[in-house]
Amino acid sequence: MLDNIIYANHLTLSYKSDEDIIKDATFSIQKKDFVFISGPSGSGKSTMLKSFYGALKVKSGELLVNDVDMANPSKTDVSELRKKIGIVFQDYKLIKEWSCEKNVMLPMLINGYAKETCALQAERLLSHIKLSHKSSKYPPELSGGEQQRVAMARALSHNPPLILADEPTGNLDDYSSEVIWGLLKGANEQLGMSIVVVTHSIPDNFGLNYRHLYIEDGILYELS
Amino acid sequence: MSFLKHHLSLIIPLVALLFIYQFFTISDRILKDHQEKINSNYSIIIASERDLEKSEIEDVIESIKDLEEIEPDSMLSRLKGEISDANLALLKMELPKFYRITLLRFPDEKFLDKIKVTLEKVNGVKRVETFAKSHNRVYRLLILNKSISKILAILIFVISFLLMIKQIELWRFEHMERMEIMGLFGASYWMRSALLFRLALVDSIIATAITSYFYYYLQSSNEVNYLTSDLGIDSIPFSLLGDTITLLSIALFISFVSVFMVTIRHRG
Repeated sequence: MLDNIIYANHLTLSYKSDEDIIKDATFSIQKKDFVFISGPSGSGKSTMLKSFYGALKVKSGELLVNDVDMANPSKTDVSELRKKIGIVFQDYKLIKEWSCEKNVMLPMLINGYAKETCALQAERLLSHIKLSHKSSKYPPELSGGEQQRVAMARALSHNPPLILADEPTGNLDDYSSEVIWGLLKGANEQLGMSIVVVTHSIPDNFGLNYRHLYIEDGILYELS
Repeated sequence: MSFLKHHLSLIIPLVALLFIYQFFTISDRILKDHQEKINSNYSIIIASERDLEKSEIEDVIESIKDLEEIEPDSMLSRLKGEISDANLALLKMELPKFYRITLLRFPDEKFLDKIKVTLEKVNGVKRVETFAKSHNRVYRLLILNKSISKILAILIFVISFLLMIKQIELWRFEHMERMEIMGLFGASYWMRSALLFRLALVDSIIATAITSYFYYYLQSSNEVNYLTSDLGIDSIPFSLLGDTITLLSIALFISFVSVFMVTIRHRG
């Protein structure tokens, strides 16, 4: 239990009173795990991920994320959890009116770091993803791949113990996808972060030990 | 251009609101000043068969400032030469006592009528003269002005407030995506709404500056002063520093309350 970063026990999820999307799922994700969640379209992969960061209420069962009880969380609980984790979205969710640098700084600013510290960390990360020269550009001026790299840098900026990524390479070309996978692998191997990635397809020759959770018709399976 | 349009939509109702507030305040100040001017020259005259004490008048009229006896000598001196000294002395003995009453506040006509009735009931009082007719036309005009500006102020306040709420709703809608993204990373309510509060702060400062400049201009204008002096008003009573601070406080309070109302409604 102590090493679990996510723990679900008989977890059932649904949108309001609709049909259950995830049915009675029981699993745990340990610290430093790299986990893929895959399955056909509409199987409930993204729904599952949403419940991890409090964007969807748990219908029944137990769900603990980074020791926060997500079965019945208060607004403060959800905010506190979100401050501590990193999230990557398929549609990037960058603030269009902010420069790339400021976007990367966002989680740190929310966590109350000094502006100088945030700027320094943003500069370091942008250099790492080879976008230093575009730090003052705004997201609409960047390609999709570049935007997702900025979103990755944002997710990593405050050194979270857990990164949740929803189809992070879904809209990207091969090169950009490779960069994103490289960053996620680095975060797991070098920084010891737990990574949970929702994806349609796991890349070939991934080159890293990972766990594979598969969802079909609302039922969760662990594939070896 | 869109920046200007964006801000004008909040600045215009705010200016209207501040303008009418200041207009009402100035009307009130002019009226009070006028009341003081009349009050300092205003008195009620009583003729009484016996000596009166201030305390016994205070028992029946609370707002009495002073009771002063009027010596009849000045009146009698006019008769010197027309009647003999002996008759003059007899007349002086027979004359009632005259008193002048001054009041703490400026009375309206109803109050004067009430005072008259009350004083006439005091033992020994033969006659009371309140000079109610001295309530002149300027005073009535000022009262009318104050009453109209009060009704206008309420109307404009309600309309402006609704317009402000609508504009802030538009701002919120425009920045909704940014606020949602911040929320996904755990930003607090205050941090997510900071932009709206900042916009409200900037527009409050601009609206205050416009309103203050307008009244300062009126106060300094020779043409306006010429017109007001005809009404017995020395100049528009507006304090650039004091009133600007008050206007800014009101603008900030109202715009922040509007932002708070909009954001709290969509919280979470």
